[in-house]
Amino acid sequence: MTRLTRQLLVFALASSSPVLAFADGTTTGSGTCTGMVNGKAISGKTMLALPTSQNTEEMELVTQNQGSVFGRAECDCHSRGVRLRVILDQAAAQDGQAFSTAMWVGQDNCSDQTQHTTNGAQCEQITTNNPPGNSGFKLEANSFRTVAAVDVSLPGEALTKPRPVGTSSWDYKCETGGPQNVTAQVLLGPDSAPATCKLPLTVNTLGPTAPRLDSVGSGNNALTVRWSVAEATSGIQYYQVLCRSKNTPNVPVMSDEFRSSTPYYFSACIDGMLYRRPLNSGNTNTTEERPGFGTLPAAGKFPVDPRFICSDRVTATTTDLSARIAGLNNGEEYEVMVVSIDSYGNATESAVVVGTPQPTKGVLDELCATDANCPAGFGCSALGGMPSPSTLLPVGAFVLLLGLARRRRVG
Amino acid sequence: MSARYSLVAALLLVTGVTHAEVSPSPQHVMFEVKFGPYVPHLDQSVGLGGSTPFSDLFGDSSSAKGSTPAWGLLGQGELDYQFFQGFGVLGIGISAGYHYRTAKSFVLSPKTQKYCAVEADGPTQRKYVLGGQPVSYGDCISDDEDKLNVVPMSLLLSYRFDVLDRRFSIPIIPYVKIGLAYYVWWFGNSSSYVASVKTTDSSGADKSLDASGGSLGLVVHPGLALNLSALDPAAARAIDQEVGLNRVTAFVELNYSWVNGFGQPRKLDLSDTSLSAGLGFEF
Repeated sequence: MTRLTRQLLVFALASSSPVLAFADGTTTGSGTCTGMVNGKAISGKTMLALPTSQNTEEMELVTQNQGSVFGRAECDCHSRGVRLRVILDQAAAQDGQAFSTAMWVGQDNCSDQTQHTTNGAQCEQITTNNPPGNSGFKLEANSFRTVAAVDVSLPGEALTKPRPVGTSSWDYKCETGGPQNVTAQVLLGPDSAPATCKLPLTVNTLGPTAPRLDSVGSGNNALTVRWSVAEATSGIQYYQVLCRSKNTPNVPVMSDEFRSSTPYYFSACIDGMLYRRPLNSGNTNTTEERPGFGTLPAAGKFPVDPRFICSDRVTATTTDLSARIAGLNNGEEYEVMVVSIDSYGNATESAVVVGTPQPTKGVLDELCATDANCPAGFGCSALGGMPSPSTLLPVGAFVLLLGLARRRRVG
Repeated sequence: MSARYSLVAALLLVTGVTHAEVSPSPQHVMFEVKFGPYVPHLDQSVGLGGSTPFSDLFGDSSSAKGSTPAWGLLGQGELDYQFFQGFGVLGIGISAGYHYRTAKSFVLSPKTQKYCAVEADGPTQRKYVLGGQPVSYGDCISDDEDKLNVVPMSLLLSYRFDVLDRRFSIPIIPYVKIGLAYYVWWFGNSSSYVASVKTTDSSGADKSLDASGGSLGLVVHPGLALNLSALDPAAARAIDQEVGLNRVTAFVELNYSWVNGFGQPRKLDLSDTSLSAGLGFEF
């Protein structure tokens, strides 16, 4: 049983039971809950959860990779699909007394009330009005009165670049460079000394080094793509090849079967729709539904769109940086690119190169140009005529020798 | 190896086993492994009419038109049953091996809709021609590979003249094997393990065939073996008593194979003549 499976199992048991049991420590997120609410000590866990389906509330826990969940695509798409899950060991303030709740993101000490009023502090409160478009945000104190998982949406753009205290207008642009540490926090209880549930996160919106696409070679109904990166390049986890036909640039080249069985290993925000890379423990695809095929993308710039994947991942450490795309049409022009992918799901694309599959010819194709010469079949006369007596002579001699040897042995 | 023999011998001495009084164990089986160069002479197949498709694709681009491609490795194993031991050893056996080679396949030019042709360029060179114009080798090939696989199998009768070794302690064993051979072959490519080829039947209809088949023929393997057990006879006897290994030999032999379906049409010529070397173990 994998660690994640155990985590899911324990969580399932815990969330359906009035008493949470973490005795074996299998549901460890790196986030914790500590403090007092109305005089009652609380403790618990926080972890990330991802939707397992685009249209449902089913969530999959992601604890094994929580430090690298946020990449550029989540920011671009103002992702609300990633959630902070709070699981308390015991209900907070079951005595019926009122208590306040708040959510903050930013630097680690944002639970400190003084940071809330310190101009320039990297602390941003999340409300239904902030960041803009966050009207679906809900944080209800009553949720914490019972022992059950509470999911709170994490606004991607605020996590990526929290608005400093005292700043009235803020540009949530996503170019924030390499890894940065932020903390998502849910505060429970009085503002002066709240209990806190913290989840530390790392965000990284900087894509890895772009690969150099060296060649796109023709094959029979196929293209062979070769690429390279400079020596000592770091930060690349995988590569994946994308392709599309120049004739039908908005139609995925590969079959539905291929795309349903082949994960894409990068996240992308296409027309406001977030395509999230696989994040489960096996690094296989999540069961998240893929967005359908719209009229876009159209001809023009070749987008890094998971719908156009034409290969499985190629591990960055492999010595042979190449992939063969099969199942193409001979004579048709295809645009091909390679993306390098980092551990955050950020992808950087290569230049686009056009290739054209062409029929090929091997030795037998030459031989079989004339059917009479086409060698095939395993029998000694499967396709040809009967052997002539002269050709049977050596065979007969061999069999005779075998027979003589046998006679001598028996004698 | 000699050190191992000595170690085993020493152990046996400690345990009080005396070897001088022990006769050799019965000997009935021989196992051989051998490796050598191999290049099938496909271009000599019946019906090619002088064309050399194997050389064109698998040959070096700087070699002469029609020249034999470079050799590849052929590994083989052989198992013999020795049914007669007297003035030499007679045995019957089977052998099998594997040979594999690849070459870039030619690509259809999108401009001319033709494949390159290979023509002679003087006695020692070849040139590639497309649409009447000379082109480079790189312009002719695709990124796909043509992959030839050959599994040579033989039924062999062998005679080993080990009289010199047994009676005069001269550890040289001349031998000869003759046999009936059946070489299984198939072409693969970058898309499939066994390729398919398109052709037309006598009525002109298109048909597709698996690029695989087999050719019958004969093989002759004269060779010379050196009895390695003679290096340390005492240790060799000890090993014989322990595991029944009578003799270890190193050998070099000629591989003469005449495998072309006995001259039938539509059979690949997989003949070759080469040397191979290996080790033999007699039990």
